[in-house]
Amino acid sequence: MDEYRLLIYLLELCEKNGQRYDQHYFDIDNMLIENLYEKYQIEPTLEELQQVVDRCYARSWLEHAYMSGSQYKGLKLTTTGSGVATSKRKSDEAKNSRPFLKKASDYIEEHKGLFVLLGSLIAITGLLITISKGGG
Amino acid sequence: MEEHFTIDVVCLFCQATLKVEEGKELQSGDMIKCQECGEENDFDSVMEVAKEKGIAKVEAEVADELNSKFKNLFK
Repeated sequence: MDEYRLLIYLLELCEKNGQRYDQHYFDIDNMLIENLYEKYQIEPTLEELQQVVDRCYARSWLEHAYMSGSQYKGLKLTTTGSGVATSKRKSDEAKNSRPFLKKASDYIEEHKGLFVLLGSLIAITGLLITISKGGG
Repeated sequence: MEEHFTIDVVCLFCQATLKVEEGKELQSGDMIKCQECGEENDFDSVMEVAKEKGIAKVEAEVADELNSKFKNLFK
């Protein structure tokens, strides 16, 4: 599980409850794991989820709303965390709504190194075949 | 105390300063692509973070100014 899914889930929870992102507090517990499973059909372990939270905390995407006995309780989204969730959700939505040709074009653009490698392999194979035919 | 404050608008993902093409105007709902990490940043969210930083900077300046004035008052 990545950080973005957790942040988007938390932001959507705030929106669902009509709360500002800094007014909704949450704990990292089995209940959250169950809710994440319902939304994404993924089931991280508590330790994995805690590692995700550690990374979010290190990047100032999450902070403690109040002091509690555990570092995984009483957390809330920061302004930056809420912005990351909003940005990622918007860019994901834009990516998913691209027409087929645009998706294909972007795929080629993102994997141009692979296409250059494939092109080179085909060229080398063609050259080797030509040489072997010429030799025979 | 400074009368004008400058706040860098930074990428929400990598904290690099965001740069926009010259002459291009951005508005609410736009996305800004970070030149460093390639992530798309929501304009409104980026401005919200910059506003928060600006307020913190002004608060710190005012607190410093008040502290120095009160120190001089009781000398």
